[in-house]
Amino acid sequence: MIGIVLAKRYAKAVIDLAQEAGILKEVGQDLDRIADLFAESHELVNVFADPTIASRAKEKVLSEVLKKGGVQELTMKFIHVVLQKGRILGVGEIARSYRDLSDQLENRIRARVVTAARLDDNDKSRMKDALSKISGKDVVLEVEVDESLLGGVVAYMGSQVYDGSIKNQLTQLKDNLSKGR
Amino acid sequence: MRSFSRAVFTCILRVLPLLVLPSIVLASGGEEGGWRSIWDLGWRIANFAILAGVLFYYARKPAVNAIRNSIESVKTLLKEARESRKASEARMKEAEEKLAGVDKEISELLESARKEGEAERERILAEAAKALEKLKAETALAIEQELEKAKDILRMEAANAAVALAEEVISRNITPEDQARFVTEYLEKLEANQ
Repeated sequence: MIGIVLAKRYAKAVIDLAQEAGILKEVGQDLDRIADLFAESHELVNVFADPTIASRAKEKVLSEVLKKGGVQELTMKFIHVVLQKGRILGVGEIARSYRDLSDQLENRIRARVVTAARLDDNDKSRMKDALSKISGKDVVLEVEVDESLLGGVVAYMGSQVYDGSIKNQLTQLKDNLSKGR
Repeated sequence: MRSFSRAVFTCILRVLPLLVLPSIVLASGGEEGGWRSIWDLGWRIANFAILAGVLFYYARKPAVNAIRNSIESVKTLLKEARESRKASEARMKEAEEKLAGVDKEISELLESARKEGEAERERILAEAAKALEKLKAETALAIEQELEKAKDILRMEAANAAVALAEEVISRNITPEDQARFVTEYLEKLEANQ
């Protein structure tokens, strides 16, 4: 964990280079993959968090991992710099910051859509269009299913929440009943 | 001094006949013995006169001084007694005046105390009444608050129960068609929101 400010600083540094090289999307994908790798592998985290393991050994491990992943040269160099600065465990935050910055650069916004039942493609498309028109940006949908909603949909886009779930309606009903309205 | 001497002399003159007269009476008892007796009486008188003169000469000053001192002492005592009496009378008068004032003062104090007691009683009663009113109001407020709290709890429990029941019914009875309809309605609202 390195904090949002530092993560943004690293992301801004690499995104400028990626934009110049015309590999904005590729570097973003690389960072996401590396972040996922660290998120899924506790062993990897333990190795990089262990102060008794030499830096050279850590660099060797990281190089092997990155080579297997087939990441961009820029990504590799960047991740090594991050490692040398002792911030490798904050790669997840850097990847998220990179994603936010690249979304801004490409006039894109991510919307997390939670439904009680699976959406079909037509519904997804309608949802994307509707949210795009509301935000005025290209929307990237991230759809999840949560049966505890009972029914309906909740969309989170930026700081906005569009809650049309049955669960929310029941919560409001409970509040009103509790207040005697 | 002179008066004292005169007094002593007068005294001797008075006592002398008393001493002389019996001898004269005794001497008149016979012719022969009469001259002897008169002679004898004459010696006695002379003897007494000498004695009296000696006594008068030596005892006069100390006696006069003693008597004078005694008189002065008595005078002083009398003067002191008079002054003491005057002072006592003044004190007594003062005490009587005070005593006369004390009754009034006592009655005034009693009246003042009575009034203060009455005022204190009124004040205590007023404070007690005020405290009682405050207590009543606080109690009423506390009861009202407790009632409201109880009502809130009841309402909340009823709401929780109602919503839990509703959730159970909905989750048991909701169909895929319902889900689809909810999504459609949601999208329509979202599209209308643009």
